[in-house]
Amino acid sequence: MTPTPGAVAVELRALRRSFGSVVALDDLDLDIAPGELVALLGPSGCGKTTALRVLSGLEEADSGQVLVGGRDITHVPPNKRSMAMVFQSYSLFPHLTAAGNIDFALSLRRVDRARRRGIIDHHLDLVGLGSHHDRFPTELSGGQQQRVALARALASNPEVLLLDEPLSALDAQVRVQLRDEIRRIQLELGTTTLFVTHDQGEALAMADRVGVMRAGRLEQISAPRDLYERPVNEFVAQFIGSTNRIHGRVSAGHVRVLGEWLPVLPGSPTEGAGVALVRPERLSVTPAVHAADERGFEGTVRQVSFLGDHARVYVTLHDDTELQAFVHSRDTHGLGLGERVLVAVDKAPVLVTA
Amino acid sequence: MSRAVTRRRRQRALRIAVLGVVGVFLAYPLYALFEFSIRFPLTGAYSVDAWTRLFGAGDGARLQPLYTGLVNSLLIAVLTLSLMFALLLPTMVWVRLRLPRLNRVVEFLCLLPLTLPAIVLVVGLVPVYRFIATRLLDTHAVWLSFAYVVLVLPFAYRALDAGLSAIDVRTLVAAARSLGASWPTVVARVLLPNLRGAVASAAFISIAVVLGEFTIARMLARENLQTGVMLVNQAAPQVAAAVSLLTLLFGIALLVGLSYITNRAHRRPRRRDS
Ligand SMILES: Nc1ncnc2c1ncn2[C@@H]1O[C@H](COP(=O)(O)OP(=O)(O)OP(=O)(O)O)[C@@H](O)[C@H]1O
Ligand SMILES: [Mg+2]
Repeated sequence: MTPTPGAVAVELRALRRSFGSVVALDDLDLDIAPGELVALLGPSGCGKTTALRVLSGLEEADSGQVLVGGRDITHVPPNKRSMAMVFQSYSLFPHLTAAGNIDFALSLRRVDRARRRGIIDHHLDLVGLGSHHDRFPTELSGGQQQRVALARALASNPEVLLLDEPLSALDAQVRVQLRDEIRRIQLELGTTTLFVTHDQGEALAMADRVGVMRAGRLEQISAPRDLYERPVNEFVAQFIGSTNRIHGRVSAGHVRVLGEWLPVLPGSPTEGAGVALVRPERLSVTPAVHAADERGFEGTVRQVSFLGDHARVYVTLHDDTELQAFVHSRDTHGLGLGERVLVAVDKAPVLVTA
Repeated sequence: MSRAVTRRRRQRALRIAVLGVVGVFLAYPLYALFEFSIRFPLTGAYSVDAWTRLFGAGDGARLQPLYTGLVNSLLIAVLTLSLMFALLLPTMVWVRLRLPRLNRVVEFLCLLPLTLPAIVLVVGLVPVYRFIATRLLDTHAVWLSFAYVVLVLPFAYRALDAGLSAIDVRTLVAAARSLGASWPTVVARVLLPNLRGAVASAAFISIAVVLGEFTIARMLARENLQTGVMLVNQAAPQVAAAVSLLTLLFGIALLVGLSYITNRAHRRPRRRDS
């Protein structure tokens, strides 16, 4: 990611916000680099929307600071901040057409009447709705409404773009298509963007960095690959992707799992017994008859879920450990129910919990 | 197929019959009022004398209460509407945005006047109006608006509530604010255009209530349209009947206009401006 000229940095400093006894933001710190797209993930009610609303000024923080481009805007009202937000629920003004909605945003930013037409055309084209100028929101599908909302947000040329689960009301196919489009446009314009989502696939696919929140705090924020492969704690490891919990013994920075010594990640205990969190794609499962050198542990196939390009194979080891492994579709022969199999593990670093 | 046609025909006939009965039920009193205004009760002779006296000159002095009452009622209507909207709209929007849990409380308070008979209300209003007349303002009838705001509250609340429920106030306001709209802009350019039907309903129904109010004005000894009608009724009953008829027709026109506007408001977004 190269910083775009004019892009601004966003800094959230120790933000606190409670609603009655519910602490929605608990000293939240977050830095977003100029032009970066950061995705926030987390369970329902962990404060993602609240963080976005505080950044946009729609919600006041009890304490803490919001800085954009180095300026402290903590007490600036939302209409004086240069931001635009796309919401989970449809937010187009029902009495205005698609073009009218964008025109409204432009008039609020005091754009010349003469220049507006061109900007409207450009942005509707950008989201692929060049021929829908005069449609009212009720005449647009959900996906199209969200596209117009995105066009409206982008047309107002915000310093910071805020997206609160803009895709969650759409069906899977439109969702994937639109998320790729949002990312393409965001990279093109280089607008600093905070994207909130429930969908980890979405977050991992789109973001420069992904933050995982829990109970009003940021547990970890890293590039998607690091977040997946090097989680800092059990919550993050469990929240992103799936994990196997395998008992093992830690010694000298390594843990003994399925007959292998795997390096442990920071945050793991340095000595003694623990539970290693191993990703399913790090396990390989082969029919026991083919295994000549007998490396790996023996188990029985309990269940196979065929998922198209891969299958999820559930295996029970002889010591009753339950495991799941991802197996490429072409390698699933001989992995029927009740078959005896050998399970082996890659030598990748793992997180161990006590 | 022919059975379907017969059934449709029968339904049509039934619909016309029902409409006819309801129409007669509503229209006959109006007709009776009209007949009373043009037929002298003692002799049974027909004349449009009452109507010419109402609109022509000549009888000005005797009809004075009517004119005073009409002007007062119109002034009261204007002030009542202004107060009602200024009070209700911001409150209802604010509650929806910030205090959704208070929604029930506000609804209860607004519907409360429905349960109070006007005569009971007056008992409480007398000392209030004594204070208004002697300390605050004067005895002008236009200050009846304060009481009438309370009377129209349930109807106006219902109308505005329906309008606000039809749009996602929270999201629309948040979207407008984050795009750079000030509060006045939000109200004028986002909320009002989407509440046009609801605002019109609230206004019309409130006007109808204000123009028809008698009890409170009479008990507080203020002059409005209905007290004027009553006064003239003693001196010139036929003129009073003519005025009542006109008031009723005006009220009906308001309500018909209301249903027309609300229907159109529902349909409008579907229409294509090509
Ligand atoms: N206006 C409000 N009044 C009262 N409580 C609120 C309000 N807004 C948020 N909360 C509470 O604050 C907490 C965080 O809410 P928030 O909407 O930020 O969660 P979220 O992470 O966006 O959840 P979701 O994924 O379900 O959208 C929740 O417990 C919620 O109930
Ligand atoms: Mg949310």
